Amino acid sequence: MLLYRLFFFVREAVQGIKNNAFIHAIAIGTITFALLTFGIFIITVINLDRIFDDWGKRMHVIVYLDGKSTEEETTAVSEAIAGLPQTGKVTYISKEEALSMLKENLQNQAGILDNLDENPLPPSLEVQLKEEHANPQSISIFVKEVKKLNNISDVDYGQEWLRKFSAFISMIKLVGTGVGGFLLLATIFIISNTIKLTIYSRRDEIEIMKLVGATNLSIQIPFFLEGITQGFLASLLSLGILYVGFKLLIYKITIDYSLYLGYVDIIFLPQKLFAALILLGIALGIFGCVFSMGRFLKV
Amino acid sequence: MIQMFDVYKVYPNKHSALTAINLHINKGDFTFLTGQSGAGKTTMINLIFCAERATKGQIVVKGINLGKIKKSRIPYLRRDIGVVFQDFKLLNSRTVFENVVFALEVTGARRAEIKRKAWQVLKLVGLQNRLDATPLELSGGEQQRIAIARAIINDPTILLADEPTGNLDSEITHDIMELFKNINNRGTTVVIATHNNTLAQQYATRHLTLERGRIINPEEQ
Repeated sequence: MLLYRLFFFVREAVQGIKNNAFIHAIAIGTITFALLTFGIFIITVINLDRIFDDWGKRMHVIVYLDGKSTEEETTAVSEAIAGLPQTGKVTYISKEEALSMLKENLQNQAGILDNLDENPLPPSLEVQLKEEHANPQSISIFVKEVKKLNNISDVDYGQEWLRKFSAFISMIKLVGTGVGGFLLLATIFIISNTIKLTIYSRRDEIEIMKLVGATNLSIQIPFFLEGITQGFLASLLSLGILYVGFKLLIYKITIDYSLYLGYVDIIFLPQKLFAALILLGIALGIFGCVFSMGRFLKV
Repeated sequence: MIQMFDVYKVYPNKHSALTAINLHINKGDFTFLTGQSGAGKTTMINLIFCAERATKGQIVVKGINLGKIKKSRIPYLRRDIGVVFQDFKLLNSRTVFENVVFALEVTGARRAEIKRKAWQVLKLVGLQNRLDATPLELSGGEQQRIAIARAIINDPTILLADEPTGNLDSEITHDIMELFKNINNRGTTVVIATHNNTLAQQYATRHLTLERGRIINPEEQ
């Protein structure tokens, strides 16, 4: 008996899709577009987050040493810095190394350095901070501690840049949450209205089902199945378009903007979000059905 | 089979469709409800199969008080009441066979039983050779036959028809009436609402006349 019912529901759903192919195509197209917009947003947010995270990780502090300090004093400063909790890695850069690095950076203009009587660059310690301390608050605490040490001429950590960067990240997060929330609501709204229209176009069918003694549940189940199919197909379609678009764009982005991206790989949706988008599509399909059917079941 | 006790139906716009209706339709009756358009015939039919609820009074169908029936039980009551409409209410995207078996399929009947019953009723209404046609390929009379076949495939004890011949010419009207009579002879209680008085006089074993929501021939009640 149950098997007969199940068979009937599936057959009704298939027939529903077949008989209303055009309406279903419109619904699937709309859901695909809505999910696509949401997907693009998610991919953008994820990758921006990764880029910002990488920028954060690459933050380092340069401690300029007093040019007259002895080797022992330099070692003492280096050890003191290495002992601080925020410190990840300390690299000593001698006066000579600093000069050759500068020459390398100047490339064709390096000739202007040839006329110097003596090397004006001070030796320095380049301090890479531990990942968990690569944020503005930890850096300022760290810098305060370093400044207390002797034989230090200056500490450079891109103060102004760091402040702006922090403010920028906070703003992006705030705007992102707002836009994301708005997009999700818009997606739900569009999908539920599309499904409402597909059900509205079949109100006669629902009325006849009621007249011949179908229970609400047995009327709803085929529509649920259709909603699930719609949501599933639309999410697959949107993921497919998203993936192809991603592959086409990524090559160009990586080449043109590699300077800003650093060493971060631009990624597609992680597996979890991939599955979540499919589930979201299906869930929206089902909920769209449930909420849209109510008033047509009152005959 | 169908009893109404002091039934009133007033719509939200204060229009009073039925007033103080009392009636008793027995098992096996072939009853006609006649009256002009707006007399309350459709409302009465709708009340019997719970498409609408009475504002006041009691309606008892097959021993069930419709004023107290749970919403979830209504579909089960409807499986025992066949309904036929003037506009047929067929699914035009489905074949004759699919339209007819639809009423059995929603009840979860077995495939073999569905086929057997479908064959029986389609033969009864004379459409056994048009199984694969869709309603729009058929004439009005044939479409109404599909609707009748669908209404009786569940072996209902009551068959309600609301202006079943309103869209049909006189020759086909008589064919359809003969079909109803035939169904009635098999033991089904038939109630037909029509504005056609002549038809009622010709076929009815009971004839109730409605005027502005009231039965005007109380001796028939």
